This record gives sequence, C-alpha cells and structure tokens, in this order.
Amino acid sequence: MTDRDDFAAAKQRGAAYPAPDAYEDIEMPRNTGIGFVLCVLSGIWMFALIWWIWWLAILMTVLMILALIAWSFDTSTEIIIPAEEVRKDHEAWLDLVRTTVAVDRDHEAAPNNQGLAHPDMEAAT
Amino acid sequence: MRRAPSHSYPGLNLGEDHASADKFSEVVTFGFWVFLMSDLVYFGLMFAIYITMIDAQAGGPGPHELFDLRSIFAQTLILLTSSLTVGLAMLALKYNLPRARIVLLFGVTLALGLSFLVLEIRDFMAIVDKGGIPQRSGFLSAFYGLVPLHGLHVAAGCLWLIVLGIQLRVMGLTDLLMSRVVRLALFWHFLDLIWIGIITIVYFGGLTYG
Repeated sequence: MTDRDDFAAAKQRGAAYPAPDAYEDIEMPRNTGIGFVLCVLSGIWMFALIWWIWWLAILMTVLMILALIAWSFDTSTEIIIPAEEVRKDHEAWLDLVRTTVAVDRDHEAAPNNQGLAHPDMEAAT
Repeated sequence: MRRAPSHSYPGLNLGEDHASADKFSEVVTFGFWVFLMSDLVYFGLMFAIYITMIDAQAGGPGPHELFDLRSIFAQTLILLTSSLTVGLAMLALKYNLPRARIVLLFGVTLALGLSFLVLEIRDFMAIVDKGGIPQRSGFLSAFYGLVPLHGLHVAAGCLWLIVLGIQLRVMGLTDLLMSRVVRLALFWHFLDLIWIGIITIVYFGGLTYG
C-alpha cells in the first residue's frame, strides 16, 4: 500500500491486474433452490398469520420444516473449480483487460466505454 | 510421540482419529456456537422479563397455586439423563464404536425428550385448569413466553434426533453427518443448561419471591 487510493494508482501505473504466481482449486457452494422455496413458503405463511388463516399457517409451517429436512438429505452441497479452469478463466480475463481501451471519467458515457477505467489522478486531487 | 489432542472448538471434539471430519467440524461448529449464543441472548431476555414480572400477578393465580414441583423434579431427571445419553452417543462416535450404538443412544434420547415433553404439556394443561392462561397476568405471560420456548426447542431437538438418526442409518458416518452429531450434542446440552436456569429462576425463584 503506497497511495491513498492504491488501486487507482496501480491502474495508472498499469500494475492493477497482476497475474498470480500459482492457481489453486476453489471450493464453492453448489446452487440450491432451498432459499427460494423457504422465501415463498414463509411469504405465504406470514400472509396466513396476518389474516388469521390458521389452516394455511399450519400447512406452511409443516411444509417449511419438511423442505428443510428434505434439503438436509442433499449432502453434495459443494463444488470444486479445478485450478486449471481457474487459470484459464483468469488469464482470459487478464487478456481482456490488456486489450480493452481504458476510458476516463470525461468519456464514461461514450459508446466505446467497455468498463475499464482510466483513472485521472490529477483531476481527483 | 503422541501429539496433544486437538481442540478446534469448545465442547467434545471428534479428535485426530477423524482427521477430515474434525477439520470440517471446526468451521461449522463455530457457526453453530454463534447461533447458540444468539439463542442464549433470546433466552436471557425472556428470563429478565420473567424476573421483572414475578410480582405482576394482577390478583390471578401465582407460583404457589400453579407449580407442581414433583413433576418438575421428574422432568429434570429425564432431561439430565437425556443429556447423559447424548454425551454417550458423542463418546461412541469419538471412539469409533459401531454406528448402531449411536443410533440406539439417539433412540433413548428421543424417548426421554418425548417423555419430558409429555410431562411438560401435562403441567401446562394443569396450570390452564387452575386459571393460569397467558392473558391472565404479566407473570403468566412471561411464564408462557419462556418455558414453552424451551419446550419448543426440545421438540425441535427431538425432530432433529429422528432425522439425523435416519440419515445415519441411510448414509453412514460421513464427515458431514459426524459434524451434525457434534452440533446436535451441543444443542441438546444447551437445552439442558437452559432448563437448569428455568428450574432455578422460574420455579424456585417464582416460589421464593412470587
């Protein structure tokens, strides 16, 4: 850390996106629908509680508990992204960074802005 | 030379014999401790409300009319014994005893937990019979806010015992399931701890100061 806004300064030096020395496997949580299921069930559950629809509230309570139990039987919840794939994706991205034209603040609404910032440190201070 | 036993988290650790499961348990058990402690804050709040409400009986029935210490004694014995059986299940897991032993101890714990719930519900029904309903007084509102909350936790623990017992039979002792046994044991001991608070503060405290 050498500057007040180190990342912006690194971008100006052209050193903001270094390639790592080595790549490792990344452990990621697998996609699951349980969050959405609980969201919908608890939404109906709260509606039932507010309007005193007790049979619906009881039904939703049971369904939420059953959904959790069913979900707990799914034990394959993680996925490993192999180091080779991480390296390929990251290097493709670094290539993209290298070939993209950086755009400064004055031209950020221009059509050729591809998302790479060209920091204007003089103007910032 | 034998290395010092690992203590990745508070409580009975699985130990180095279960290298990968022990490592896996470290993170999830920490998360579970965070949950338990937030639950403890909730219980602490309900205890504080109860303590301030002991005198707020509004001319309704108080601790002396409502509480049946004989039943409380039986519930305490049952719950403490169930904590022992969960502890034995943890030891069976740690020392690689057959899986059937763990499932059997879970069954005994479940039976004890359910007996506790039956006695507690009978207590509540007797209290209601004597006019002790939640809306009668601040004291009774606080009582029903706290004691059935613990009962609800025990019921959830019983459901957890059933589900985990089935999973142990179906899937065997995987790392994930071993860590779930660790967490269930923590949860069950935590419920016992809360019950100790309930007998001392709700029942003895209520009878002394109410």
